[in-house]
Amino acid sequence: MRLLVPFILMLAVALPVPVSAGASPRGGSTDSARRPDYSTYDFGDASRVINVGIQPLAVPVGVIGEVMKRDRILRSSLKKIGLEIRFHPFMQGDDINAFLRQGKIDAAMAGDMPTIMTASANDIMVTALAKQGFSSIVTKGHFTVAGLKGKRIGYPELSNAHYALLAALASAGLKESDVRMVPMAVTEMADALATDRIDAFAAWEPITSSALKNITNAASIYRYLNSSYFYVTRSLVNRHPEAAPLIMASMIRAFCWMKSREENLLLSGQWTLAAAKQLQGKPLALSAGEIAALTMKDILSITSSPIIPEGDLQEGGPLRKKFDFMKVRGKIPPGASWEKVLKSFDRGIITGVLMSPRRYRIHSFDYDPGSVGP
Amino acid sequence: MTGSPSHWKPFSFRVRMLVSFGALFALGLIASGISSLYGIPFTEFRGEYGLRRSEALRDLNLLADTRKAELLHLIAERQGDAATFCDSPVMRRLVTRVCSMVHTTGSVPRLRSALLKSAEYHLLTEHLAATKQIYMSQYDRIRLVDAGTGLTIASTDENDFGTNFSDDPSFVKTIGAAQQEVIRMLKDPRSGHLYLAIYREIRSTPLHEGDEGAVAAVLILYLKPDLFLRSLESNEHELGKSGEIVLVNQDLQLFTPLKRPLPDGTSPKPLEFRLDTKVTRLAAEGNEGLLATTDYGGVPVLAAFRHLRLNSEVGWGMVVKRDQSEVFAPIRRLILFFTFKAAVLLLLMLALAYAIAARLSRPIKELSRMARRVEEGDLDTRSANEGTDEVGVLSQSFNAMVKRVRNWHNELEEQVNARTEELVALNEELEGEIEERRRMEEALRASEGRFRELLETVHQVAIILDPAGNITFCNDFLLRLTGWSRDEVLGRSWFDLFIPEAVRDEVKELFGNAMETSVLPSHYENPIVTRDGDLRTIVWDNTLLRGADGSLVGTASLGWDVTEHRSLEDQLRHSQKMEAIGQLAGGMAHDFNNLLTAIIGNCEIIKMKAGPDNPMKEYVEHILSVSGKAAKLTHDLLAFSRKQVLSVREFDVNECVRGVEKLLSRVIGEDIDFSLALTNDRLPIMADRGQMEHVLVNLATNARDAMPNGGRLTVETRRMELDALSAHLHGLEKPGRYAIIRVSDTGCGMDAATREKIFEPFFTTKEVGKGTGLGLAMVFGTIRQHGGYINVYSEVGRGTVFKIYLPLVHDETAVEDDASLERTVPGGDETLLVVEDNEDVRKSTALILQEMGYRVIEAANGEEALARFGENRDTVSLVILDVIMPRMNGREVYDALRKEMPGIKALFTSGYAADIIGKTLMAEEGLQLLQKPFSVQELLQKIREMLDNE
Repeated sequence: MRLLVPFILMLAVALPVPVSAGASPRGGSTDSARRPDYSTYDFGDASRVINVGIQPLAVPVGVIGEVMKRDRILRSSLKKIGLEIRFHPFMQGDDINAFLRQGKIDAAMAGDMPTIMTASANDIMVTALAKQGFSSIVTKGHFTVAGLKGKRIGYPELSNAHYALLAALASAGLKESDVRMVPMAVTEMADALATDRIDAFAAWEPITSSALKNITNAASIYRYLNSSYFYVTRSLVNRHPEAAPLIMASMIRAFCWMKSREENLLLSGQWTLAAAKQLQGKPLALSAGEIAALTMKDILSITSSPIIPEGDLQEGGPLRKKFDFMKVRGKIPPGASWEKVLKSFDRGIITGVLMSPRRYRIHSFDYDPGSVGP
Repeated sequence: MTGSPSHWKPFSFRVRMLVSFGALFALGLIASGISSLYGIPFTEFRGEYGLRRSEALRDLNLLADTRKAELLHLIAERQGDAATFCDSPVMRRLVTRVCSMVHTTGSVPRLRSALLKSAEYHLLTEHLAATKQIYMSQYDRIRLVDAGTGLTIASTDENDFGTNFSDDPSFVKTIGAAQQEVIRMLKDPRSGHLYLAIYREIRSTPLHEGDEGAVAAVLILYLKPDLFLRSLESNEHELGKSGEIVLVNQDLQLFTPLKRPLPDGTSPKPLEFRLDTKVTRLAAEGNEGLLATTDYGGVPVLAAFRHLRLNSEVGWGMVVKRDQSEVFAPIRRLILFFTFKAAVLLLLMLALAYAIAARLSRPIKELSRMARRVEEGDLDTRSANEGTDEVGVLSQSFNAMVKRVRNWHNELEEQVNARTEELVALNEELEGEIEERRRMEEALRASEGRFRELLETVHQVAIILDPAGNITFCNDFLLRLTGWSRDEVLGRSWFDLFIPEAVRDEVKELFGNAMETSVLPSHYENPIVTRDGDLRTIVWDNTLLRGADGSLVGTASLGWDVTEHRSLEDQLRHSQKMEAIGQLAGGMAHDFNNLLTAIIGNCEIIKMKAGPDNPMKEYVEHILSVSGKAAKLTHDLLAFSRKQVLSVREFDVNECVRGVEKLLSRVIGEDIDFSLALTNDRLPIMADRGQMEHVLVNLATNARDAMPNGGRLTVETRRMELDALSAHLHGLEKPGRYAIIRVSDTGCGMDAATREKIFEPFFTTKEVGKGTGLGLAMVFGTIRQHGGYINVYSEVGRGTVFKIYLPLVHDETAVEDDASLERTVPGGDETLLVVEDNEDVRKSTALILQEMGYRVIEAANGEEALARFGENRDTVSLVILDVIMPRMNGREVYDALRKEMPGIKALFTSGYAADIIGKTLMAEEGLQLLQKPFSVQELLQKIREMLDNE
């Protein structure tokens, strides 16, 4: 016994006491986000109402939608030709497309993945670029994608972020089967990561920035550049040929208005935060200034007008790769052709508007700050 | 150290303690080291490796993000310069005025001249120069290009004036409605310098509110390459010695010089090389992240890649990389340090454990030494340890125990002495018994050895089976006979290994009954199968074996291999059968010959007397023809029964074969290939050449019939020496040299049943009426009559081979002259005595002779012949004697007549040349024999020859 005690003491000295190297997650709110009840939406009389699907939870797409929603010039222009426009908030592009296929939505802004899916199966015209920004993989305690092997990763199915996640896994030589894919709504992701229900997630702005800001030790370990587009149904263009240019003019006008004064950009950020809170039942964990900065970074600073870049449509370009990806996975009909998707992209309407700034009152601004409803 | 397990000396208590403590401590150290290096699973403790690695990755990411931000900021600043210049109302006004002058002026020189006169133009150019100067020479040059004409109308470099940009895609894009600003990287073709060019539209002064103005000109700012390349340079503090930042455009064109040469040794120049690596491609395509990969030189690196979006059309890829070897060098040093630390600690621990173990083990060792002395017999030894600890108590107990043992020892010694005396007596008695038993066992072993030797040397199969039928003993003879080895046989079932399946159940049942009823047939015969599948016939002498308690323990059997014996018996049976058939056929043929002789003789007389025009002559001719065929039949039968008359001469077998070559070719036809393979040796035999030729023709005919669709017939000859056994096995009378004629065909062959009967007379496989069944019987008889042997080898579908063995003669007499003789039908007037027991033959012969002018005296038997001869002694010129007659045969009659008249001429006739003919009659030279049935011509010719021969 006399010798055993010093031995145990010696062993205790040799063995290091584990020190907590990672802090416990600070955790955001654990209450899950409310999902909107789309069945309460009033789409009105299809013959005289234009319904536009927007995403307040996506920046800058949601910001542009909020500004256009308040554009009195657009409303009055449409009223002159006997039309009314209504904007409806959705969680993600896939939700919008479900209503578009039912004929209830005439125009929308969504990421490139939902845009391609709709263009391959429906008659639409993709008329403008709404975003060029990154979808990101956010995680805690990992610094490389390879470190995610075997981990649970949340992702919004068939979205830009889904594609970004797969691109990230491929870059590290991993397959989907090497990780545990957890489909979930973007609104749940930050909470899920904070409470360790998942180990990482793939999402877009502002979800990723919000998580990075509010979850300790969170890091964006992979980013993938993707785009969002504005598109209208050919049915709308055929029924009301004047309507699409007026809507495009409103979008260009929104760009000009936001870029013209910093206050305008901040105001549009506030509008977006309000819309997001109304949609998901809780506020985004970002300030209006941060929303404004993201908007500037992901669209306003990179283009003077929302014209679709030629490079997007090139053979071997990002859209073609995503089309092939979804076709392989059976997410778009096997008979769908890339040519059909390509023909859906139209730069003519927006070019025509840009060449007639006076006619479409691109540089005139009249927004209704009080309008929040559809 | 003997190395033997029985001499293994266990480690001492001290060593075991040392090893135990050392191993325990080493394990602890390793666990501690691994956990401190790599963390503890399922906890948040990540370990030094994870922390250092995270730190390195974080640093790399941070540097990449910083450099990306700096570069984008730098470009954004320059874009801001352009925007400030282009959106300035003053500049827009100046540009509007100057550009309006361009549109109204003609050629470039005139335009320049006109512009130089303009105060606005001077203000504009001064502003350009001031802008360049203000920004600390960041710009190489600044140009202003008229939107309408594409001509450079102002520049910080005077030489640029008039340069046309109408075809510049960036210029065209800038003046279009879609893009306000275009950025591109370009290379000055003259200087080779790299520039980042920013094109920005300048709109004319608005004419009214809400009017944006038209694009009047394009401002082009040329950033010096050093400006942004410098921002990408890294120092060792930030990125280490191996760190590098690489920039490519969206087409992967390299912007920055590379730190290391490519694997081919070249150092590519910016804008002249596509750096297509995994990370540059990912970065250019819009991906951002961090990968462990290999760089353009194949070196493992950690690479953070970033996408720099300059505008909606232009994106660059940036890679910040550092060699993995450098990044992880501190971690390797950490592992080295840990190993060193662990080794030192382990040594210290071992030293400490050694000291503790020595202290703990000292009293135990003392006790151990004392125990060893007690073990060696020192029962007076005592431990001096008076302590109260565990070892002290143990020592005192040990002392008490030794004292007790000493007392017991003394008592035991006394008892042992008493018992020892008893045991000595008993031992002597036992030794006597053991010696007796040893002698008995030796005798038994010797007996068993003799018995075994006997069994091993005897030419009989010896086996012992256990009650289950498994072999427990077998002798070498069985092994030699069957081809198995002893190891393969012993322990195996006798019935499964040796008894053919066809009789296995029967033999097993017999054995089983014997084991149940203790009744086993003492003699038994059954086949056994050898390893090669051959069958041997064994005749067994069996006996039951019983154990000491009288129970059955198996059987012992001695077996005679009677396979050859049985085979010889079969051959003998076959030979006797053929002999019997031959006798029968010979007898029948003899009688038929007598009948035919009479028929033919009478027919000849009728034919002679009838005259040429008699209608009966045709019938007589037919009878003669049929009789001739019948005579041929009886001739073949006689040949088979070896009772034909042979005209024996010496000739060479090869010549005989060559002599019939053409005939054989004709016999077999054109569909069959015929070839000879004759030996060069001479093969002289004593034989009837005609019969031999007949044999070959018969075999060829047989071969032809076996090859209806063609094939090959080969006749071979060779010489062979047969010893006594071989000769015996082949049915030959004596050993010696033999000529062998081998006749082989590739025909349909025959089965065993056909082979068995192939030489029997009237056995045929041909259709009814197509064969007499006497061909091969005749062959058999002829060969046997010549002292030879014929056998057949054949299998269905594989052809047939006949082998003929004929005894060779030593002298080489000239080959016979086989020239045919001209025959006449001469008559005579001499007196002839015809002695024939068959009345028909006798009468017809007499009639023929009388018809030919002879005087004929008839006698029906030997006695009558002697009587008749006595009566006509002076007139009888020739006696015609039947050889075979009852009571007194032809030879006996001849001998008696010779006594009466020594020179009497005699012509013997016979239906067959039986042994009597062969051994008695034919042995004497000068005696003549006429084979029945004979033709009149033959008879008359022979009589005439003999009568004329003095």
